[in-house]
Parts: sequence; C-alpha cells; structure tokens
Amino acid sequence: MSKVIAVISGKGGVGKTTTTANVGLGIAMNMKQCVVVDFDIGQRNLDMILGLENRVVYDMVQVMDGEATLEQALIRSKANRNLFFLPASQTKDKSVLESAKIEELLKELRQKFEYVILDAPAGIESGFEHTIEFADSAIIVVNPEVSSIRDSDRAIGILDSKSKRVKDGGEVEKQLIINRIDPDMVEKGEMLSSEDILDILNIELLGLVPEDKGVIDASNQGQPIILNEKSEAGKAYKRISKRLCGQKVPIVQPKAKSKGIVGKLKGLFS
Amino acid sequence: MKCKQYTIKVIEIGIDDSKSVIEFLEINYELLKNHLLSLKGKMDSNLKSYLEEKGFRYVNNMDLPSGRAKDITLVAPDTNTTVENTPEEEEIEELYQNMGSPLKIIKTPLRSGQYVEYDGSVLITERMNSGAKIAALGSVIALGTVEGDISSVGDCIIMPPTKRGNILFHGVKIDNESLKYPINRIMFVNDRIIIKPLSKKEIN
Ligand SMILES: Nc1ncnc2c1ncn2[C@@H]1O[C@H](COP(=O)(O)OP(=O)(O)OP(=O)(O)O)[C@@H](O)[C@H]1O
Ligand SMILES: [Mg+2]
Repeated sequence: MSKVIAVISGKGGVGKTTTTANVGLGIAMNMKQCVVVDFDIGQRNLDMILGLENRVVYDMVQVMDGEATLEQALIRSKANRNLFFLPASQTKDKSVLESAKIEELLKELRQKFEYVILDAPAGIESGFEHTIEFADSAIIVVNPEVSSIRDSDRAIGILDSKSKRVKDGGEVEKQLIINRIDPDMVEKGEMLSSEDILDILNIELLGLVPEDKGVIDASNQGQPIILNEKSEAGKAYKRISKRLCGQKVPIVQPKAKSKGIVGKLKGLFS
Repeated sequence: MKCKQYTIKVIEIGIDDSKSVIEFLEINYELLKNHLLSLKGKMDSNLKSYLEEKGFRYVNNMDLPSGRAKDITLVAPDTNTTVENTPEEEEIEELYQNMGSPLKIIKTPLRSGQYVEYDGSVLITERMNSGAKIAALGSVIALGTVEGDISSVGDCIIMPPTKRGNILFHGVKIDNESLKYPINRIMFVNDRIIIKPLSKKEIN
C-alpha cells in the first residue's frame, strides 16, 4: 500500500523543503522505495538541497502534459538508490497545475513507490490546495513562534475541508514537526513549549527538530543533514523517518549543549 | 500560615495491560515527565517498578477533583488514554439539548480562518484558535480555550476566561479582564450586561 504525504506549513521558510529532503532520504535509508516531488512551481529548491540540480532534464508538468515519460523525468538520488526525485516546472505561470492531471500523475507514482512525498509551496493559495488535494496524510511543519502556528492552523483547516479524502467522507492523517527549536531558549523559558503548540494545533506529534547551523551548510552542499551522523537535527530526522516507517521511537526533547569553557570551545569546532 | 495555589497537569490513563502502559510512557516520556499520572485500574509490580525507576509521580485509583479535561493523542495512538468529559460539560450539553432551541454542536477545534454563522445557539466543546470566528443569533457556549472571536445576540455567552479572544455580546465588546470566573456567563439583567460565574448548582 502506498502513501501520499503532503509537507505543508502555511507560513513560508519554516523548513518544508528541508523536511521533505531529509525525510525522503530517511525513508529510503529504511529500505523503502520513496519519491519526493517538488510542488513549488517556479521556485524549485528541492533539487538543490538533494544535490541534483544539474541532473534536471524534464519536469513534472512535462510529464503531466505527455511531453516526457515519468521514467525520463525521475532522477535517482546519488545518496541512496531507493530515493527518486521529480522536479518542479520552472515556469512562472502557476496555473499550469490541473486537478485531473495531478491525480493521474500521483496514481502512476503510487504504483511505483511506497512513499510519495510532496513539497508544498508557501502560502495557502492554489499551489497549496493542489498539493493537499490527493494526499492521504500531511506533515505540518511549524517553527515555535506564534505567526507560524497560526498560519499552519489555517492550513490544517483548509486541509480538513478541501482534500479529496475529506470530501469523500474520510480523514487526512495529520502529524506535526516542530522545527528550529532553540534548546537554550527553551531552557530559559523564552520559547513556546512543544506542549503549548500541541495544545493549540491539536494534532499528533511526529518529531522535534532543533535549530542547527549545519542544516544550511548541508543544504548548500546538496548533502541533506540526515547524512551527518553527528548532527542533532540529522538524528532528529532519522527518528522521524523511522516513525514514518512504522517504528515506535521515543520523542527526544532537544537539549542545550553543555556549557563551560571546554563545551564552548568544542562548539566552535563542531 | 503560608498558603499557595498552583495548577498542575494531570494525565489519566486506564490500565488495560501494564505492558502497553509502559510502552506508552516510554515513548512519550519527555512530554509526560512533568505531569501527575492518575492511573485507573489494577497496577502490577512491573508497572510499579518502572514508574519508580523513571521517577514518574503518580496516584493509583485516586478520586481527584474534577477539572477541564480533553482527549489527547500522543505518539502511541493505540493506547487507552481517553479522558472523559467532566460532569459539568456533560450537564451543560444536556441542558441545552433539552431547551429545544436550534443548537449547533461543534466537536472539533475551530481553526484560524474558519467561520461558523448560525441562526440558533452554538456549543463548542473544543478550543477556538486565534483567527476563528463564531457568530450566533442565539447563545454561545464555549467549553474549550477561546482565542478567537465570538459574537452572540442571544440570551447569553458561557465561556472560560480569555486573553486573546474578542467577545461581542449584542454588539457590545466585553472586556476580557471582566471574565474572571472559571466559567463566566454573560447576560442581560434589566437591560444591563452583567457577568456572573456559572456554578454547578445553577445547571441543575
Ligand atoms: N533545523 C534547522 N536549523 C537551522 N536552519 C534551518 C533548519 N531548518 C531549516 N533551516 C533553514 O531555513 C531556511 C528555510 O528552509 P526551507 O527552504 O526548508 O523552508 P520552506 O518551508 O521550504 O520555505 P518555502 O516556504 O520558501 O518553500 C533554509 O535556509 C534552511 O536551511
Ligand atoms: Mg520550500
């Protein structure tokens, strides 16, 4: 049984694309066939984070319009043979997506892959609605700040009214990732607690990802942070991927690094 | 004499078998370690020693004073952790079902951007988030946290205190500071808007 998962947030820049890349790779590392699809038409970021930008020949819209076959457009990840990537179109015209064609494309992807992960664009406009329309479940990414939580709340509301599954009388599974948690601020009580966020959004928790400078570097180099054994964010994405593959893995609360001079010195080198 | 009042979080867990309870606590340890566990059912030595080893604070089959309760979903959804509605909530629901006026009951959280407009009264059992709105020609009863907008031109609004909510009763903006009781009832008495606490006695 294959599963289509939309990665959404409402607010932009909170970590959808980072999550899509890492979770996709993480699922592939768990020996599952996985494809990540860039639904951010005109923006195209996922190819860079996966280090595949120079391999893009055909895109999703060309496949939908019959100008290329799915096989021609799919790009296999260098990091893991089980992971494939389907690029977004670079066109500025965001209205190129049509429900019927998306449904057809996803049907084809479902036959080939166990996990189909869709990276949604920022906002809650038509691009977002197309991403959620045929999803079985959604990963909601938030940052621990009020504006991000409110925007994702709105996105969940739309998900719960506009997705095909809901219209057919079913439900879309919803799971939350809280990204960019600063453990120092949590310790000082300066950050919204995970409990408060869960209270407001009222959905299941999938994982907590700490703020990690390595994430930006990793993205720039096209080597998702999950490949870095030492990174706390990387470890968090590993746990999240295992949970998505059905394993029960404890939630780990990000902890502040040990202080003291030695700790600080070490911090400079890590 | 020194006297302090504070609020703690309690999670009630029905023990079906101790193994699944341990598994549940293990997975959710970080989220639950600062809660008081109220365990209902028979406890075996395995569970006891696990709780002590982990430093969980718990009570077994103790009658705690009732509070505002809600269902929660943590990581292990197949474990039995449902929290029942408090008696007050059930009674309020019953009361309004007996009134016969058209009543809309909302049992899911109302999210930012969602708008409920209704010709009768509205009862919402879950939270109302910032950016959500209820406008009713009848009364409004909110049992969960209110951070959205409520407007009623009915008999009353019944709701907990709110920091961020925007409450309009017959077009008059209610000062959030004046909603100081655990459950407030906003209503007219002789053409004046007054706010009274809703007590259990009154419901009966
Ligand atoms: N845990 C983290 N620690 C540090 N930086 C992070 C973390 N997660 C994401 N970032 C950084 O935040 C920025 C935005 O991330 P990303 O592009 O994944 O967000 P997005 O939600 O896809 O944005 P958009 O809405 O524009 O598509 C990137 O520079 C990324 O490297
Ligand atoms: Mg993105």
